[in-house]
Amino acid sequence: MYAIETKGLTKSFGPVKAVDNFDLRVPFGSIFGFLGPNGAGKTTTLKMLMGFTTPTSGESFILGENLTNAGDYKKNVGYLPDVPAFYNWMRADEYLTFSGELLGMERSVLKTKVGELLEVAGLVNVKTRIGGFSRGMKQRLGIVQALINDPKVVILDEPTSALDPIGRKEVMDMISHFAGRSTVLLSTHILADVERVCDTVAIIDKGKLIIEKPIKSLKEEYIQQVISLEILGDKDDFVQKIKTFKWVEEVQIENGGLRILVTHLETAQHTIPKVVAEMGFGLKTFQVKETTLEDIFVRLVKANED
Amino acid sequence: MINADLIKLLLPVVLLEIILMVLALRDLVRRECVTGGNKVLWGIIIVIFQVIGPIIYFVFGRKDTCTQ
Amino acid sequence: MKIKALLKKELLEILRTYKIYVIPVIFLFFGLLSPITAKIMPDLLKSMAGEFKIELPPSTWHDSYGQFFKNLNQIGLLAVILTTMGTVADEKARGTALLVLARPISRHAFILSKWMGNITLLIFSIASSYVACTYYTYVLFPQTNVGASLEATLLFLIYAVFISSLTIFASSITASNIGAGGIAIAGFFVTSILPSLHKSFAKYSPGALTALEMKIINGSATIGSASWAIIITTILSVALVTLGSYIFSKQEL
Repeated sequence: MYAIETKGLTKSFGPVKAVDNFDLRVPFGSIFGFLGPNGAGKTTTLKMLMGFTTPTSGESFILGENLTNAGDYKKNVGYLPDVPAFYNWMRADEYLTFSGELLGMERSVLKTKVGELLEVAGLVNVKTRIGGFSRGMKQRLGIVQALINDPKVVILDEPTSALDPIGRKEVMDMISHFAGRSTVLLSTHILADVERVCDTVAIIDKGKLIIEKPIKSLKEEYIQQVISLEILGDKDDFVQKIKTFKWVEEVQIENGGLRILVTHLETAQHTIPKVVAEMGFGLKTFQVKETTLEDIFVRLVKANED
Repeated sequence: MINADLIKLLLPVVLLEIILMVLALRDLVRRECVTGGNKVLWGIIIVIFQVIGPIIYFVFGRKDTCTQ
Repeated sequence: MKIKALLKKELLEILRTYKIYVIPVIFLFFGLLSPITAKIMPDLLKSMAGEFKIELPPSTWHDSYGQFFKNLNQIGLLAVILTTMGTVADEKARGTALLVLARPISRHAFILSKWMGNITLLIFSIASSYVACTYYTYVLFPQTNVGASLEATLLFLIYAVFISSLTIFASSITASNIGAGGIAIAGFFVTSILPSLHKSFAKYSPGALTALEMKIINGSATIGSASWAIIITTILSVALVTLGSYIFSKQEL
């Protein structure tokens, strides 16, 4: 059994398939990154999991419960939409209390929990009504309201988009804080967020699930050697020349240097300095690195689009 | 005789009008953005049209965010 | 228990936002103003007639309630529509409904709490304006028949609940408060003219209650003769809210 599982989940809007035949398996206790560019179908998928949108076909299960049966499973799920909207006339503590009451939580338990979560969100002595909150404050409140009853599953839709770097760091820290206690499904288009907290990732693009794997095995499988190079001489001429070799997969030019993706490291290590010398150029830096998640992501999404 | 009594009876009516007007004006002053963007115009509507003016303002004039 | 939490939120919202000012204040305003208008109306008409001498009988307590119900049935109910039209539609448009419905809360319970909250405000507003109107009427026209006015007010309450249910229905099925307002005002208009179209409408449709209010005040009808209109209006109110909540439960958010 999985914490969250979908089988052939599909949602069409007219001829457009926003979500096309998703088989998603989120293991218990994982921090699952749901990664894809804007408009890939992330929000639609999460809305189907929350029962806000009816799938065109397919089934979903949360904690083994089929979602077509009523909304009782929601007592085990905390949810944060991409743009959380609260009642502007409430205070943060009132909103959390209201959320707990909707779950039928016991009053004394709820009171302790509200105090605890206000602390986590950094909203303890905030007496302003939510209408006067900044975007970051609202997002932090949005995350803790999802945790009000320590749910087994937490679904967060783009928790860090639209935040400044400091706000993003705060929110990511909050997520890693409660990770381990709950299974977290987190959608984002920001790779750095996934690398920071997630252990498993599903990459989607244009409604298609491209890959679903633990980050570790994803890296192992798709890992490539990259040579980071800075030369003294005409870069374009050099790129022309180096591209003719079979073991060169791709050459990227970035801030002054070159990144060369190679299939055979040893040959590259021997040949590249030779080519540089033959062309009469100088060698400034030569470094061997590993591909980042971003390289893998760009490659997979590109492959899907071709 | 009836006139003096009527004025006494009218007092609470006038009071209600003033309370509603003050509440609407207070909201208007504190609010950053209103529909149409013209706060002065809303102020005039609230003051001139007794009872109806403040209600029209409460229903249509208030905006939560300043988008556009 | 959960419906209690939702209802508590609705009532708190009424108290914390402009809603508490608008309906109670308008209703109270007409409650106080109507008897005064009725009292000075003959003098007012005489002074407007100027040179022409017109003979007018002095006004009575019937005129006081006549003014009261006329005002509430028009401007009062229009204000009810305007302040209720966003009750569900705004929550959909702004997104506040999403976090509530992410809880194990049925959409029916959500609509039911809206209905209960709005009706509570309506009962409070009508009761206080009735007390104010009756007190003023009693001071200005000592022969007032309190029993008849109470019965007429009960009919008005049933009619007002119907208009409120109609507005909640409109708000549940649309995505914008302006759309909801349009549907509700159109429905209000149809309800008001139906009695003049056919005599069975004049007897059994919700709009019949408006005419019955005055007949009870004038003594030309009893509350018993309104029983069919009362039953039908109540059934329609419940049906509208049920249908609205059913359509809402099928909507994509």
